[in-house]
Amino acid sequence: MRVALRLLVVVVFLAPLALVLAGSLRRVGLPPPAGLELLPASPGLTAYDRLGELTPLSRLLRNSVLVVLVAVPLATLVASWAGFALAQLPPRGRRWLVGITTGLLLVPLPMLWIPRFVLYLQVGVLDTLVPLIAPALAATTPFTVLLAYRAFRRVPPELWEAARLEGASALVTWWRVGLPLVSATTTAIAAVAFVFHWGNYLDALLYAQSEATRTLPLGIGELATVDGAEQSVLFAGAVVLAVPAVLALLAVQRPLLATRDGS
Amino acid sequence: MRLLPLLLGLALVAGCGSGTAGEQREDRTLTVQAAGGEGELSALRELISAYEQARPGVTVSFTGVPDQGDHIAKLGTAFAGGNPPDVFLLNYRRLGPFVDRDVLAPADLGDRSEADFYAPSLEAFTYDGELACVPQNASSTVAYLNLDLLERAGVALPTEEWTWADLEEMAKSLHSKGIAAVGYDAEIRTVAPFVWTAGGEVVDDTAEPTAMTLDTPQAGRALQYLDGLQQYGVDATARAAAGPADQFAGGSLAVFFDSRRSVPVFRKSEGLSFDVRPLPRADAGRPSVSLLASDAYCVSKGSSSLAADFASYAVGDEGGTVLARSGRTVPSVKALAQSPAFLDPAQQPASSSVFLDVIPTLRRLPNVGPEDEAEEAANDLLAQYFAGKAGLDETGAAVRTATAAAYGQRS
Repeated sequence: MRVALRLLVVVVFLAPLALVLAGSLRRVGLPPPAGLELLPASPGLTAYDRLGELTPLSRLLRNSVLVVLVAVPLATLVASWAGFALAQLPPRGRRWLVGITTGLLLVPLPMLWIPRFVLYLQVGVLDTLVPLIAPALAATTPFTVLLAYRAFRRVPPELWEAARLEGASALVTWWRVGLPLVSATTTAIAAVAFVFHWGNYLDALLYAQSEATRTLPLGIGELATVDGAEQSVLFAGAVVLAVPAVLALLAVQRPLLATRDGS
Repeated sequence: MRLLPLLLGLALVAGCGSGTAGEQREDRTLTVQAAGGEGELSALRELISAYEQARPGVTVSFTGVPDQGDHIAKLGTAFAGGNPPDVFLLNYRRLGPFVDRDVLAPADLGDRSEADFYAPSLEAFTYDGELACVPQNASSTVAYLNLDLLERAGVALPTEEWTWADLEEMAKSLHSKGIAAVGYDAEIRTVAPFVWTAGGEVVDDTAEPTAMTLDTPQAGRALQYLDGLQQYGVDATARAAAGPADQFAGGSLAVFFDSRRSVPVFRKSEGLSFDVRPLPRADAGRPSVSLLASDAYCVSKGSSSLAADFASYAVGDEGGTVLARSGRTVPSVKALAQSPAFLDPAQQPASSSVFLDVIPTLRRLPNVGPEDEAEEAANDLLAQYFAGKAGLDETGAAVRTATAAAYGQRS
């Protein structure tokens, strides 16, 4: 029964990916199929060739990779530091700050569009990759801070006390004592940050002005308006966008499942 | 996009929504933003390239956005942040909030005069008595016909005076031969011309709309007629599987209603032979009416003189010809629309002049905003009606209520 349920979950989540993959193998120029098509009649890679013609794929990929290479470690570090600091606070101040951090999750994103736009404009980084990396300075989302906080809270307080008695600084305590014990959560935070920054369409839309600063989600998004005969190109773009995210999640799966934080 | 008035309002409050577009950049640099499909954006890139060649030393930074909602969100944020594009393309249905917030420079037609333009597109971009933007196109909804399917069914091409009864007769003949006859997007832009030709109105007041009026007997007749056509072609279930535009492009649909925007796609479709006719009129003796689809080049207040120069170049002989050749737009300038660049006999549809013939019959939707919200609300309810999930009276009443709420948001 459990196996059947697991299989069902796998099918539900994999089916869209499989259909997108199958759609990307349909020959460019053919009208779209009338319904779902599990495998095109004469599969090929023409959609991927056409994708390279319609979009500056290498530049889009380069920009996206640059963003995640900087933003993911940065977001993970900031979230971990913030979570660690929250966990060290006395209960009263901690409750307030955790409440505020949770409240920040409820702030509608559009409220940040204009302040951020003005800030980037004033600092002179509009139309660079900086606005796409900048959210990492705030741990990308308050959710990652709360994740780190929960993980550090599960560490027995005696360990922090012992480190303090040994004369370890906060940074050394975080690095030598805390971080090794929350590696699974840290990996999860990195995965969350990767998925966010790799697929960040909105910031790219609002703050990238020129072709040179466009990233993959924006480039693939432009394909949304291709006509039916080129629908497979859109699917090919979706595959290119999805594969790194899937690979990243597969890569972190083992450490995530192997460790239980704080124990 | 419900946020637009708010974002533009913030621009006004902050005092940064005007007077800054050009100041941030050097005089020889221009930013242009537009939304559209791949064909449309390619045509605009070609136009920009021609402009840069015609104005040595000028650099144009172009941002193409595929989705209208994203286009408006990006514009709203940029205006509020005080760094809007110098020139942007805007549909007349979204004009109101921009004029209300005073973020547009007066339209400059350059060497053209108002007499050079088709009146409906000028009128659509006239707000409080002033022309707000330079009209790019004057497109309209027409009937696309698959010539091979008609021939296979032994059905003659309709005349330009055809009626609803003629279309229904044709649909029956096609359907009896196993051919999907008629398909359309179940949206207000499809429904509107049918309501008008039946003698009804889509909104209570185009200048100051307070609700859509699909609860009248005339509108009811139009809705029932369109609903009845589904049995001969693309119904809601088939629409969900593949859009009628795709089915027409694939050669499996005989008649499809849409604006000029479909032409580049249909031209690219292998083996598709097609032509166009005006939309059928409700009865003989009634006028055929179509819906205006028009965009314009709007210049942000405070932009350098290059912005106005670009807009006038785009509707000039040189720039306008580049766009006319793309097939995507019906030029708003009469001379361009009547030129071989647009009426190229070697290109489909052979009867491109139909797009010009219907111009005097064009009517439009409101331009005061928030039109997107009203149309989205109406489209959701129309989708329910055409899927058989809501009755006629229920739909008419619900559309009135929902659109009244949307129009009521106008500040």
